[in-house]
Amino acid sequence: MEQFAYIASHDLQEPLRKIGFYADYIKTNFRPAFTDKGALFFDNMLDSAVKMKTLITDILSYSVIKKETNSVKPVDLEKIAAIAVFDLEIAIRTSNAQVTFSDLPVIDGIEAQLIQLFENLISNSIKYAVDSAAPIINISANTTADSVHLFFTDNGIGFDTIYLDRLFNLFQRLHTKDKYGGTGIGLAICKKIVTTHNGMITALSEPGKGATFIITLPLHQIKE
Amino acid sequence: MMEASANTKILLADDDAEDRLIIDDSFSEVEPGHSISYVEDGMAVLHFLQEITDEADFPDLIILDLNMPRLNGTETLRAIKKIEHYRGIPVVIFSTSVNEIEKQECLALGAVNYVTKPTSYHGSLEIARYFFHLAMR
Repeated sequence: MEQFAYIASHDLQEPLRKIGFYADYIKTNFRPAFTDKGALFFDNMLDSAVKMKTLITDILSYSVIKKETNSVKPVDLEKIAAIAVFDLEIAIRTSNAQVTFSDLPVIDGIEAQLIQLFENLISNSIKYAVDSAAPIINISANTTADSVHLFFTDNGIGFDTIYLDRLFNLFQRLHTKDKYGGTGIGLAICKKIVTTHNGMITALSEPGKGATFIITLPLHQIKE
Repeated sequence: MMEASANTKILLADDDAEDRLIIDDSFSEVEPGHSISYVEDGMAVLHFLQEITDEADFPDLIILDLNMPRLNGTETLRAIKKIEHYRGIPVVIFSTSVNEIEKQECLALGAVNYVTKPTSYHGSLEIARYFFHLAMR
């Protein structure tokens, strides 16, 4: 299934990407020839192509996460957090978000996957921010002898924890597509990465009172 | 803004003729009059380089698609970086796939960057400008 998803989403992206290019070209160079309705429908078509592209990209990201014992090495989570913040610079600046982190340990892990985990959780907090305040996101750690609990805390809209068991399922959404875009894959990717690292993910929240995602990861991965 | 000199040389390898058409269109809009060399796979890149007798004629930038027949982008990048003569030529990966693991692998092999193929006309123009910028560094 995962191999199928990888191939399908990779090959599906090719024609879709070209549709996006040609549509944008036509819109840019031939817009005056459109009627109002034609322009509206054309924009709707472009939006649909963008949504499909996002969906395919997310399925692809989900499908490629797997256990790669050879890629496991000591990873400094402080560095991972810094890379994630750097990669999300535009979203952070646009939303006026403050992202802070401190005292994150070095653990055994797959670097690229851990970057994606941090990026998805930070993006999630930015996306589900309250309208009245800029996102404030803090990443902290409680390290024990053999594991680390990571806390990603935000001041966003939060959610009712009765939905907790569904939160990390593929294509699961707790909010309408109109208000909060997205594919419902981001947190499923987080869960898959955490599971690949033999860890656990959960969350604490109340509607309107922000959310804290708690990730428990072993400090050392046992060679299989 | 810096302008590409008339002899800025870019070599692009991609087996998809439509992708070559799209990026060529953007190259001509961004820097009209430039001639970009196109080949269809990594093997053809190595043959292209072997034909060059004067190092001054080496491309200023090599752009590689990842999924190509005969020799794919990663294999070609690895081959280029193994050969002393070619090692200094900047190589950028140009792929449809947005895969962080593939990206890190290519950067570790010495690619200057990993650029995702554009999904819009404006994105394609931006990328063409960026490629000229890399070629002129």
